[in-house]
Formats: sequence, C-alpha cells, structure tokens
Amino acid sequence: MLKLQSVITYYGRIMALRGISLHVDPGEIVAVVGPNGAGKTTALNTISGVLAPKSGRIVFDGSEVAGKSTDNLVDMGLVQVTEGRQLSADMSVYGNLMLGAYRRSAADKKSIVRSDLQRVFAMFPILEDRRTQSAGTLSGGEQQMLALGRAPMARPKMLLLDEPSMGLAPLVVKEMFKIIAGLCKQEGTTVLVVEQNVKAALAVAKRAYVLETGRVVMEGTASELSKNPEIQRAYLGKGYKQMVE
Amino acid sequence: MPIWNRKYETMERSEMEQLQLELLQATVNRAYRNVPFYHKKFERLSVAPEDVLSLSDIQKLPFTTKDDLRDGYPYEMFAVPLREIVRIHSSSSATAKPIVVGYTRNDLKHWAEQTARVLSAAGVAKDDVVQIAFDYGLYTGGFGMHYGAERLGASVIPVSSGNTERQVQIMQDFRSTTLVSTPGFALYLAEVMSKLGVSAAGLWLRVGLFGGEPMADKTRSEIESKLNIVATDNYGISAVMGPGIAGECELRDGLHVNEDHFFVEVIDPDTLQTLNDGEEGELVITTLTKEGLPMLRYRTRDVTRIIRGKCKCGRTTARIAPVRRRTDDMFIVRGVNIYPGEIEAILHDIEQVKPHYQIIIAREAGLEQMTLKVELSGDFIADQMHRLVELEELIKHRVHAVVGLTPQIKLVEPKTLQSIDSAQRVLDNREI
Repeated sequence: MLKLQSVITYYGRIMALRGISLHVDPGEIVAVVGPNGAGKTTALNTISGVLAPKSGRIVFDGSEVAGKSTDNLVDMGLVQVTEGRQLSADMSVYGNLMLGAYRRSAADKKSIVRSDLQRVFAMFPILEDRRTQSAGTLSGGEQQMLALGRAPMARPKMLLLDEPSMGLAPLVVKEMFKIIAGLCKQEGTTVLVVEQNVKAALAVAKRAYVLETGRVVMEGTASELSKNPEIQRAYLGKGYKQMVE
Repeated sequence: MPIWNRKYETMERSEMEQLQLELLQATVNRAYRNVPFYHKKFERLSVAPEDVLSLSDIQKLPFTTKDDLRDGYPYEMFAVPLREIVRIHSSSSATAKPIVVGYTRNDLKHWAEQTARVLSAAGVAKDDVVQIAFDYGLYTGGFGMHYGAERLGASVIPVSSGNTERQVQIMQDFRSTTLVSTPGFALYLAEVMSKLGVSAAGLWLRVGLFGGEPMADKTRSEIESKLNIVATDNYGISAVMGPGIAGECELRDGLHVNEDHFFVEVIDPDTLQTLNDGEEGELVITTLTKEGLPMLRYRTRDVTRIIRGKCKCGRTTARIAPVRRRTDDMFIVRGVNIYPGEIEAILHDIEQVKPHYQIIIAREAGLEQMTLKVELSGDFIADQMHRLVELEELIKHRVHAVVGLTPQIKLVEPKTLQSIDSAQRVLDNREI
C-alpha cells in the first residue's frame, strides 16, 4: 500500500530523515516509534505531502507520490488525521465531520455520506451525543475522537496518525487505540501510526519501525519488538540495570 | 517440497528488495552505532550509514574477515551487551584465537526458522525422524539443524558425531528417516553398515541433508546409491550464522538463500569488485536480521555463483551454486577446517623435524584420513625405533591439540620434501 525508499528530508538545515525505508501492506497497522526528535513527525509529514523530501521514493497504491500536495493525496485515499486542536473550534461536531467528506466527488450521493456518518456515530457514540456542540467546547479526549472520527468520512484507503495518544489520559488512550484497531478490522483501512507511547502503539500494531536520529535502527513484528531487551529498557521502562560489558 | 514460509520464500522480487533495503539500513545503522570496529572502519573509508540508499550501495561498505573476528576475540564485535546474548558458539580451531559468535533470543528464533525452511525444502516434515550426526557443542552445526527440525515438529535424535556403529543401530531401531551430517560421514556410515551386514533397503532412511564440507556430484551419487536416499546440499558458515543460510529443494538446482535474513554477493577475490549474477567468485554475506553479531560483507572464501529467477519448486529466492572450492588453502577433513599454515607452525616448534611437509588426504574404507609426511632434521639420529615412535606421537598430539584431528605420521629422510612446491603441499585424493 505504502512504500518509502531511502527518503531524506531536511527540516530547515537539519537533515531530519537520513534515508529511511519502510513499507505498509494493505490492511496492516504499522507503528513508527522512537524518542522525541527522532524524526517521526517529519516522516509522517513527508508522506502526507506537508513536507517535500529532498530525495528518495514514496510510492502509495502503486504511484509515485513524493512531492504531491496534501489535497492530491486525500483524493488518492491517503488521509492524515489532524491533531485534536487543529479542528474548526467554532464549528459543530456535525460540521466538522461533514468537512471530512468535502473532497469526495459529487457523484457520492448524500445518502451514502449519511450512512457513513451513521457508521462514525456507531464507532464514536459520544460524537452523536455532542453533534450540535461546537468542537471547541469538547474535552481533549473528545476532540481527539472527533479528529479521528472525521477521517473515515473521506473514505480513505490509508490513515496516517500523528501521536494519537498525546495529552490524553491512559484510559482514553486505550479507548483510542481500540477504535483504531476497529477501523482497520471493520473498514479494512490501512494505518500508519507515529507514536511516542511505545507500549500502546505495539499493543495495536502488527509491525513497527524504531526510528532514532532520523534513521531506522530496528524493524520487526510488534510482539518481537516488545520482547526486545533494548526496547524494553529504552521505551518500556522494564528491567533497567547497569549494563554488563 | 513443502514451502515452509510461503510469504518470504515466494515473495515478489520488488517486495523482497524493499524488505532487504529496510533491513540492510537498520543493520548498518545498528552496527555503526553499537560496534566500534565498524564505526572506525566506516570513518576510515569515509562512508556514513546514510550513504546506503540502495542495495547496490552495499558495495561502499567495508568487508569483514575471519581475522577481524579473531582480532575482536572474544566479544568485541557483539552489537548488544553480553547479558542480551543467550548463546555462544566458537570455531573449532585452537590456534592463536578462535572466532566467537553470540546469539540473542531473537537470533535463535530466526535460526530455527531458517533451518526449518532448509529441512522443509529438502523434504523433511513433522512425521520424520531426524538423526542429527553433526557435532553438538561449540560447533554450530548440531544445534542449528536441531532447532529447525524441532520447529517443523519432527522427532529429533541429537546423536551428535562419532560412534558410528551405534548410529547404525539407532538408525535401524529408531526408524530414522532423515540423516543430517557431513557427506564424508554419510559415506563412512555406509561403509560401516556394509561391514555390519546392514542393508540400506531395510532402513527407513529416505533423505539426507549434507553440509559442513563440499559434496561433489560423485560423492552425492555414491551416498544416494549406498544409503538409498535423496541427498541434498545445504550451506552454512559459523561466523555468519551456522547452517540455515541456504539449502537445496528437491529439484537440486542450486541452494535457496534465506534472503530475508541474508544478503549475498559474489566478488572477485583479487579486485574485490562485485561480480554479476552467474559469475563465479567469492561468496560475501551480510546479515539482515542478526542482533547479537551483525556481519557486514563477511568474506566466506567459498567459491560459488548467484542464480536468479524463479525455481520450478515455486520459490523466488536467489540461489547459490554448491560450493566446491575455496579461495584460500583451507581444506576440510571429517568436517574439521584445516589450514596448512597451522600445520607448518606446529612443525616449526619441533626441533627434530624440518617444517617441510606434505599432507595427503584419502578416503580409506569410507573414512577420511589425513596423512602428514614430515621431513626429519639432518641432526636427528634415528638410532632407536622408540625415538621415532615418540616423535610421531608428539606430532600427532600437537596437531590434534591445534586442529582437532589426529593425522597419520610418515617421517621421511632429510631433504626429500624441501623442494616440494605449494601446489603439491596438499594432495587431496578424495575426488571432490
């Protein structure tokens, strides 16, 4: 579904991505994890067209997309879920959700969009309760749900998620990831999630890449990586002891 | 036979190359970060991990040799702290420094997967009874194949090497269907069977996986007719992993490489340039998933060529031709790697003889024998028989201590071997 080959991206004068390669197969949830400043968000922004790579290939659904605009990519089915605080705060929950469908062609009948809306409400009952409320009045967790709920309205083939757990209470994080797993399972949506909360990400993802200082240093299945001593020590806070060397 | 891991063994070329690129970059990044040896080598060559942007960029990277591993004795080349290493193996050589290899828990898991594929390709399945006659111990052969056979769910007999008569007994009584050993041992086993009056037709044995030393076509057909089995070749090297790197399928048209774990190149050993597919040269292997001891461009000294294209068995992985010779003067007797230089060094230290020698390898009654002809020193007075016998014993003992194999000794008159040229230094009469 998505393939990156040796992508190099500069952030100002800093080489933020030092040639990263990764792939996401159709229907997979893949996580990119790593510490702050490793280049995770840069990677996501490069894929979604917010940043242009200096070199390397990005192939989505069979076509070369490096350097394409975000709108272009949304039309192709590659949708980045915005952070909760980037919603239209003055607009109602309903309005925000309908905004998610705005790029869809006129051929899509209103009735289909309406049934999509019903599916979103089924996944996020809280959004139906708050449908007339303006987005700005929602709690942080609810805003994040709205941002996530807006994504399926664009009927994406693939979702890009940037730190969905950021600023959320642990219980809400759990709920969020459950919904992401459901999206993947029920809708067949492919997901690439960038996450600092390694434990939560590995619990939901099938595979993961570990990014450090703009480089991929490890890749593997989520279960393999969660058992890896280095990952446990660095990210999961387990069994930290003085290293014997 | 059955493809153990369809996803990786029949992967589309473009997908495999994507996976290899990802794994290569991650391996290079970890080796650069965690192994000072590689960090220094990269700096000396002025290459950085981010210079590897395609698979062919691997040619920019430094080679690793057996000497590098020796210099790093024992743990210098490890990429993880020792407490993450769950297994340590070592080369048989007792000379200066042996090479030491370490595996993490994940490495062992991958090893089992790799050898399971090799066994499965040869036709072994869960109903088989697998007799593993490779040495268990510091050598990687026994354990490596053991894990794979267990992963398949086969019944594994870890009989290890030696004690051939007992092996025949076990083969009969335990109904072994699969033999895992060196080709040399298989021939010897056949010889012992005929001595004991055991007919191959009465055995359950149907397939053999042979490795650890070259298997000539003639040896293969001899094993097949004498043991009444299908003989397959497989390739491994301890510095890289052990067995599990590549193995033949039932079509025996090259050894399928586990390409999602190992990246193979063939180079010209003199110019060190990478050769095209199909050209014969030295096999160079880079590990793609190994955590404990990643190897970048390890020079195996084994001569082969790379065969591309889908095999009729359905596998799409690259294949290597069976290894028949090496680029150095190492030779293998009964699965033991021997360098003439080691023998020469031993003789240098014994004053009654000159370091002029000749090694003759032959197969006697199925068993490989190494005979060492040694020139007596001119000052040595062989006035008494027991002094000659003592000297022979001394050489035998020293050679065994260093190479792990006892040769037969033939002492010869002074000045009879001194003019021997290097091409005649090792006479191999085994018809490999």
